[in-house]
Formats: sequence, C-alpha cells, structure tokens
Amino acid sequence: MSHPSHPRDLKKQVNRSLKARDGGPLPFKKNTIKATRTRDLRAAEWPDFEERRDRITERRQQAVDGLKELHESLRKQWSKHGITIHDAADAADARAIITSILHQRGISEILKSKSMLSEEIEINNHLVTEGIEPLETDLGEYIVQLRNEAPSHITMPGMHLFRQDVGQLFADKLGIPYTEDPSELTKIARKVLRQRFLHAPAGMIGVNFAVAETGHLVTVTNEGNGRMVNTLPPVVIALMGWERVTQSMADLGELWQILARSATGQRATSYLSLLQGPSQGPGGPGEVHLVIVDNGRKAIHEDPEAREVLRCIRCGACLNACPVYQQVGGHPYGGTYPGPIGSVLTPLLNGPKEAPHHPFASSLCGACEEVCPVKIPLPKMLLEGRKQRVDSRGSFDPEKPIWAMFRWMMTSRYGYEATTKLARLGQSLIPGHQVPLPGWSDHRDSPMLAPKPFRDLFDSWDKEKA
Amino acid sequence: MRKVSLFIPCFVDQFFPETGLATAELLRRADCDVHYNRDQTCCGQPAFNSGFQHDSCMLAEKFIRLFVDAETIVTPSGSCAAMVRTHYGQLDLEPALRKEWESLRERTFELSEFLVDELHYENELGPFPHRVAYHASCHGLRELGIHNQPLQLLSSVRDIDVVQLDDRHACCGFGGTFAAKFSSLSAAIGQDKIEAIQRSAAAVVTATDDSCLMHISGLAKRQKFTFKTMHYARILAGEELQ
Repeated sequence: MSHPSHPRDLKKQVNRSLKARDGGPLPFKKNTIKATRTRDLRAAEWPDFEERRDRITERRQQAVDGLKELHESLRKQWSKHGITIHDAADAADARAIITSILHQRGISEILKSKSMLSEEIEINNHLVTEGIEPLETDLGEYIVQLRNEAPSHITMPGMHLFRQDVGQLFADKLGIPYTEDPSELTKIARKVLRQRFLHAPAGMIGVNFAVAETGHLVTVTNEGNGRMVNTLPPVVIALMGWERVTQSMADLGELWQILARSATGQRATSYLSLLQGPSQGPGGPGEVHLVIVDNGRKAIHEDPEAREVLRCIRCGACLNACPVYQQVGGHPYGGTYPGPIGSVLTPLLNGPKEAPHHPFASSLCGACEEVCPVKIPLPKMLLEGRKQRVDSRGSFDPEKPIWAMFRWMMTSRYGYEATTKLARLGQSLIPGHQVPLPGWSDHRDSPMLAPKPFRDLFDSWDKEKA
Repeated sequence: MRKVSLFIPCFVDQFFPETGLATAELLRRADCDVHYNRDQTCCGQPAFNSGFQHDSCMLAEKFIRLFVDAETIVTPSGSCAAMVRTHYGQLDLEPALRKEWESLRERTFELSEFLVDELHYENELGPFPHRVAYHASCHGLRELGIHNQPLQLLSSVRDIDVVQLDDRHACCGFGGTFAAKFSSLSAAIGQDKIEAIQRSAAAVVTATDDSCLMHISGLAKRQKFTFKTMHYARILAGEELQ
C-alpha cells in the first residue's frame, strides 16, 4: 500500500537488505528461481517459441508505433458501447478523477482487482485520506495490503514472503488459528472477501490490454476476483496505461498465452475477462468509467531511444531471471516497478535524477532480455539510462575527471605504459602487495599486476617460435 | 595461413599475460600468422558501461583506426569482443570510422569462436589432468551466442574432467564497475557462484573472460576457498596448474 522507500534510495536500501540477512533462506531467491525454471519449461514446450516471440514482438511494436491511430478507433468503440472516458495526464489527475467519480455517487468503499498502475498513481493512500476504503481482492495484493506494504513483484505481489509469514499475518490480523497450509489460507481470504463482493458499491480493475478492433477491456487473472470486481458492483472503474493497446482479438490470443507462460509458467491463466461496456440487461455494472493514464508514457513514446519499453506487457519474467532481483527482491527499488524493467522505466517516468542508481544496479548479464516475451533490449536501455544519468549530472560531476583521466591514460600507449609502470612500483611497495581498491577490496582480494605485461613478453615469445 | 591481429585487453595485458601468451600459442598451433601491435590499450568498455560515452567513443575510434587494416582480430575476452562488435554501434562514431567499424566488426572474434567456427580446429589439446568447471561468462554467452565453442575445445584436452555448475548460466556478479559501485550486491551474487564451484569439487574454474575470473578468484581467496581460476586458453595450451 505505502511505498517502502523512494527510488532515490535504491543503493541504500540494497545494502540495508543485504546487511539484514541472517543466513536463512531468502523467499525471493527461492521463488524467482522456481518461476524462471517453470517459464523455461513452458517456453521449451513450443518448438516454434522463438518465431512466435519474434512475431509477437513485431506486432507489439506496430501497436506501439500506431498508438495514436489505435486510440482513435478505440474511442469510437468505447463511446458506442457506453463507456465514459477520462484522460489523466498524471498521477494526481488520475487520483482526482477517481475520487470525484466516487464522491459524486456517495461511495465510501471500492474493491480492487490487481493493478500495478493503481500502485503507480498511489491511489490507495489517497482514497483513505478521502474517506474511501480500498480493498485489494487479489490474494497477493490482499496480503501486502494487510501488511501495509507495496507489492514486491509485478505479478506476484507477495514474492518476498514465505507461507509461514502469511499464516502468521492472517492469525494476527483476522483473528483465526494459525495455519500455513496455502489452500486453507486461500479459503480464509476467499471467505472474508466474498462477503464484501456481494455488497460492493464500486470496483476498480486494471486493464492488461484494450482491443482496438472491438473496444474490449481485458483483464488477465487467476483467482476469479477480477471477474467479480468487474461484474458485481454497479460502478466499475477501469484503469489503463495509455500504451496498453493491442490491435485485434487474434493478437490478444497470442499475447495472453505468452504472458501466462512468461509470468507464471502457466499455459493459460484461469480467467480472461473481457468487458465491453455497461450491462444492457440484468446483472453487470450499470456504469463503466475508463481512466486512461499518461503519467510520462507519451513522452517516452516521443523518444525513439526509449519507445521500445512501451512494448512491455508486465509479465515480470525479467524480475525472476535477474541476479540482482534474486538477491534483494523488489522493495529496495522503491517506486512501483522493480527489477530490470523497473530500472529502465523508473528513470524514464520520474526523470534520471529521481532514480539515479537504477540504471547502474545491474551486472548487465542480459538474462532479462533473454526471457522478455517482447524482446525489450533491457541491457541496452540500461546503458542508455546510465548515459542519461551522467548527462543529467552536468559538469560538476565528481566522476567526470576520473573518466577523463582514464581516457587520457588509454589514448596513447605511452600514457598507458607509464601509468601501469608506476602502478607496478606502487604494488611492490605495499606489504603483501594487496593494493586496496575502493569498493573491490571490501569483499575480495585484489588481483596482482603481473611482473611483466603481455606487451613486454610478446616479442621474445615471437622470436622463440620463429 | 590466416593473418591474425591479437587484441589483448588492457587488464589481460597487465594482470593475466599468460592468457595472452596462451592465445598466441594456440593461434600459432592453428597455423596462423600472429601479430601484436603495441599501440593498443583499452576498447573503451569501462567508460561506456559507466555512462561516459564521450570518453568511450574516443577510445573506440582509436581502436578502429589501429585495427583498420587487420585481416582478422582475435581476443581472449567475450566481453571486449562484444563491446567492439555490438556496443560500438551505440556510440557517436565519426561517419568514416563508423563505416570502417561496420566491416571491422565482422572480422572480430572471441578466441573460441575463431578456433571452432572459423578454423574448425580439432587437434588434441592440453594435457590438463584436473577437474575443471566451466563458467559461461554472460557477454560471451548472451551477446555473442558462445554456448559450446569453449566446451568443445575443452573436451579435446587430454586427461581433463569437465563438470557442469549448478545454475550454469547464472551471472557471477562481476559486471565491471558494478563490482565497485554495488560491491556488496556483486559479492552476494558471486557468493552463489563460488559455492556452486565448491560443490562441483572442481580444482579449477575456467571461463572466456579473465574479468569474471578475477572477481571469482578475489572472493574465493578472501574466504580461503581452494579452487583456482584459469582462462580456458591456458588450459588448452597445456599450461600446468600452479
């Protein structure tokens, strides 16, 4: 619910998380490695996986390139089917639109199905201050809401918890006897939530995709809560990122399957809910409000270096495959989106100064790009993010002279040879020849400069072999 | 006889000259005419990965000028080969040099790629009578697609016992300046790697990149782990285990 930290503090939070370890098992490490293995199995089931991935990537890029036109056709569909359209320029705008819809109707509670965009606009805290109670109905989201935490993962919000943690939480908060049996815990949550579904005056859903051809708002879920949120309450608010548009039902079919396989290693999710507009007969919502959120997306769309990131379908596979995420989980990233996609997206959405460490929090191993279903070149984008960050620091950058010196040293053989000779001398003067290197030596022994570099050995090798 | 220009990355030159010599030796045995130009320094990757593209670009341009007439460039580093082959394209190179780069990148190879894919080298190598674990360095693996070439060469080494590591495609956590900027995080990722190496009971861990091995060895030595690190070129060339 509340963000654990600001994205600016990523580095501090990473170190804090590593320091807090007690040698026990790490839930995010166990869960991510398991998720990646299942994802790999599901990918291997399709002999033509790579061809599909290429095709989906291409179609997804076409959708992103054509967003403006697709939105025009969507608006016609939405109007025809009686959906009320609201455009939100930023998070504050989106919050104001949502609260005003609810206030106007005297509504003081709203049931939510999972939406990362709702985290991005920080709607829950805002609703509480406006006297409206938000209730998360996705099990993972319900758990983190009870803990007053933000989700630590895009598709698995409670990735940072063991079932024992959930057992204890339910015992504490719901006053039930302790159990750590997942199916028991699910039953308990279902019992609590079902009562609320029957009387909910309003529901909020996240939109995974809007289908341009038909205007359908599509929600992908596993628990059936999304289906109840978009059918039982009389007022439904759908929250959609401006880029979440797909061309046709055929494209949706492809996206849905690769999303399920990449996210949870399922062949398909349990539910795929399509909402075209308010109900025409008995049952179903009387009003459907669609809030389309920009919040920096249109600016990304204008930037040719960054646009590809809008292909993202929020599966979370890059988080699971990332060695950094595996070590520290999602919370140290702050903000909404953790892992490699978060390290690219957060500086783009919030500006490089607001997430200064994000692009650097990566070994650039490339595991993220390897599993991305829409082939976003994440390492390349992280490198671009590093450049953007350096540019944003301007000329008073303490790192600048270091790299200028490095460049000078490497520009000519003479500078390089003189500097390395000097370093050799320095190394010989230090007892044990362990040169302390900032950052490096905290955890590792230092490498030793060889008595002679290769360049001084090659000629004699060459003569000997001739 | 193929004429080969060696590119010995700066840290290999300074810290691991044995890897450079083993590379030269292997190429000579594969009937190559081996050249080395002493004017070479660094490909520019450290500055590039730190976001200082302007500094990196000047070193990239120097590299291209230096190797412009090379028939074939071979380097014992997947990471530096990937820098030249892929990432130079992201830099703001002078137009004339960009044009040169477009053909130069086609002539640049990591050592095992060159030996296996270009020369189809199949002679017996080694000997190396030890248990060896192979770590697939990320840039070679994912940017150049080096999956089997080093393993194929290692399998031609007499008396060797090659073992697989658990999570064999997991990063070691080095990541260049990442190792210093996020030192504890880099070390935590590396911890999983050195424990996997320990579990494999290998006497030596090898890789396409001395940079990964430098990090792995630094962690291992600090914790008194007993396995050694050696670039695969040294094993192929029959260097004895120290």
